[in-house]
Amino acid sequence: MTDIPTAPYQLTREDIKIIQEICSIGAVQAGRALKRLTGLEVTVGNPEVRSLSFEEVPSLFGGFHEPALGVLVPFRGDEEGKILLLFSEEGALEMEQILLRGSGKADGPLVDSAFSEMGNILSGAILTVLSRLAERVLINSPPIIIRDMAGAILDSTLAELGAHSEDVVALVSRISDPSGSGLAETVIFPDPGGLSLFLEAAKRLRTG
Amino acid sequence: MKPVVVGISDFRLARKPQRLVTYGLGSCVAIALYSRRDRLAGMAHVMLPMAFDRSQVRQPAKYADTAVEAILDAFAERDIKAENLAAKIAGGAEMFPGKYGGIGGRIGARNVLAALKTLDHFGIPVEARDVGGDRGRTVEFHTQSWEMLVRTLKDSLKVI
Repeated sequence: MTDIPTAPYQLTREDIKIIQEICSIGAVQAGRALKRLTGLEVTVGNPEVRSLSFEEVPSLFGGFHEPALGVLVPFRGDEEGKILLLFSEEGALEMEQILLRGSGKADGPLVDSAFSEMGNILSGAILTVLSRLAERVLINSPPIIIRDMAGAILDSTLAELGAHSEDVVALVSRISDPSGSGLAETVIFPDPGGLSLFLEAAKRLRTG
Repeated sequence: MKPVVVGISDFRLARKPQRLVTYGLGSCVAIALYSRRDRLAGMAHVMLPMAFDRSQVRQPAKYADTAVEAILDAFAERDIKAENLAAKIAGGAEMFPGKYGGIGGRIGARNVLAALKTLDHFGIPVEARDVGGDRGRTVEFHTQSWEMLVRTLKDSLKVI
């Protein structure tokens, strides 16, 4: 097991650069998998790594009260953690169109199943890269789909992080449709286990 | 009149007729303390039950126990005693259901328990509560009526 980073997270510029590099590899793989799923040129942009205070997190989503769809993917193995993809209501509807090529409100078992599949694909892509680079066994669990206020989804996720740090690390990425228009912002909050994996992978990349 | 917005891990005071609001509580809990006599209220948006190492606490309103103490201190600075206060609380949902209920370690229930225990410790009566469940809440506290308005996305407004 790697050491859990102590509070506050002190990411060096080099750490951020390498974490971004790792996420970019994951994003390319996730994009390919989404293309296979949808048959469309859906791209997952290079994630931006941000270190934020808890009060700053709502600014990522335009407010804590806004309706949102969360796809939470817990993972286990040599490390435990979770990946959260958070879509605004509009982003979820647009993503639903891409996933199901249908129309209407983002709800129902079929839509949940499509978002679960997407959660599996995105988390699988990231975890595969992390597993390889950090030389750890990581297995994603079935995703949990949740619709509620963005803040309510977030604060339950952030509460665990809050026990370890005053700050939160967010990996922010944009999913775009074939025309290049942004569909949704997805955000991954690595918890202490997840972040330690990124740092371990970064260390290995740095030392070759 | 614009509301006084309380951010996550934060607390604010409001004087009658202002209102306090905090958005999107999941497992977090809103704790409102108020003195009708002194026409003053304070509300915190707490994330966690208790601070284990108080020397490391940067934001007292992050924890239920230190948040209540911080509001009491702010009231004490204005010569308002705990015996003149009452409280209302809302929040503490478990957002992740089923076999993943363990995510967050039932943190919502623990937040509520810590808030109630701390208020009891200081002898502050809890006049109303809307806690638990699996829905997010947005909470307003009105100093005109000393009522707490609790909104969820799907259900109607609840006034406690």
